Amino acid sequence: MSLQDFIAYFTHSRGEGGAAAGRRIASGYQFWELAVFRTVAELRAESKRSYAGLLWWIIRPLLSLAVYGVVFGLIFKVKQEHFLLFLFSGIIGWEWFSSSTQRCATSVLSNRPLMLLVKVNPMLFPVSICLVDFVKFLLGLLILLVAAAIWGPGFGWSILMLPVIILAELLLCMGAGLIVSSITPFLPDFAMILTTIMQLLMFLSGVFYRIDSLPARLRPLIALNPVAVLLEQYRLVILEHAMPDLRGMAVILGSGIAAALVGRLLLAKFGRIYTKRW
Amino acid sequence: MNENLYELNAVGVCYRHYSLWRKSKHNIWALRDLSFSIRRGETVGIIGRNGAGKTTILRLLAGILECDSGRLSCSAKVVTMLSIGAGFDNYLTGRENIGLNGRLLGMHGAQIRTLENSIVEMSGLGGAVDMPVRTYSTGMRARLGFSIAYHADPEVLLLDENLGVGDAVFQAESSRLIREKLASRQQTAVIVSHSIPLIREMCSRVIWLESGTMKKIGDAEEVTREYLDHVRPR
Repeated sequence: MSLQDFIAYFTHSRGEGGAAAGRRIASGYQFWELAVFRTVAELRAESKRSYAGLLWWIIRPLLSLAVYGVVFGLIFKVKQEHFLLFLFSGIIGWEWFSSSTQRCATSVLSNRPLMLLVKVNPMLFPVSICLVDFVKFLLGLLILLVAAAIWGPGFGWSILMLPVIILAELLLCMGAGLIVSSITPFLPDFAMILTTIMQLLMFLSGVFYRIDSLPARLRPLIALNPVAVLLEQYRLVILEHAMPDLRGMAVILGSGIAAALVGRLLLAKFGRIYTKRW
Repeated sequence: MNENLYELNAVGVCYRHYSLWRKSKHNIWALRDLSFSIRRGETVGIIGRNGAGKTTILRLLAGILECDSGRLSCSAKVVTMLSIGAGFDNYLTGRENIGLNGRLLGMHGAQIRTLENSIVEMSGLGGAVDMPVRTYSTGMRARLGFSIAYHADPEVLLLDENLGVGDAVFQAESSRLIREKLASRQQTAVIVSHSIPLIREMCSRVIWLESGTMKKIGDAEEVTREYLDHVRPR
């Protein structure tokens, strides 16, 4: 789509009233009821696709932990108290964001056949993916908390702030998911570029290092990356029994809300023309 | 009741090709300058050759496509295309797919729970309803899909081509059910079909489409006769 088309799309008056037909799906309650139902259905379906089923949601993050643990703990010898817990908290937070964003990218594109059969809000596809990965994250978090209680520092009052951080990540995932899913139907190549972007983002997010172990001149740059700030907050409240950093919370909540609103707007605007694109 | 459920005024639908670099000129107007209305309880047929825009009209009426020109107003709340098994997940059981598919067709959770047994019964799947859909034959899938769509009971039913699905027995049965539904005075429906006898039997009015524009609208008998005269080689 050229810039002219883009501007024309937002400025020109178009045919009216088409949205009124089959409007019922648009109602908020019904949308979320369907999204949650679809999430549960997807989780069930996924658990039946392999022999180990449900177990994979636990095994996968542990396998990642083993890989990063060997590379950064044994080979690079990163110095960090409770290194495995530190690493695992980074991995589960990162995997949620990365997996849901990458799966969201193609979600609207690949559901085009369905969108041509029934009137459905395209937000359904990215939203249910984010929720599926949210459930998997919660499982990982449970393991982390149990491990922190047994081998780690136990819990402090700061753990009560955890739901707020999780909410921020949920918003961030949904925002990123909605935005990327609105791009690929016009530009399928974006899904390819996204893999590289996510790779870069992982190294910039401090999954396996502390942000404050970086040279001072790099730190402000990393602080602009909401995922890095997010992972830091998880570690603060779970492993260091410290209250989350206020500026950090403002960054992640703010960027989460902004991304979700922008994504919602983009998908609502573009969703109407996906079905007419050839 | 003479209330108009749909009113279309000079409606057009345009399929566009988007190019990243230049302003695209590949716009295809699939429908142009359509003006008609559909009353509550009426069954309207749409005929025309391949590529005339019949499916596009159904998608427009279903709210899947928006019009690019003109004005469309619709006062119906639930409009569905009778799409058999849209969004079925192969790894879920038939019962779980009833929940998923029913919701996609605009049913409420509570509605689905009350109708579930009746859906299962109509599909004739019996115990197989608790097996994953990937183990189903094509006919079983179609029967389940049909039974859900039938129970979704939309205000406006949009039918593309076939009324019946499945094997000979279920085909007769499902076709009979749809006919009964269409014959009732409350059900509004739009049928796209190449079968002129079916259109004549079911519809009071017919729209004849030709390359995206409305060639004729009017009494079913009259329009189909003219259409056949036009299409038949002399």
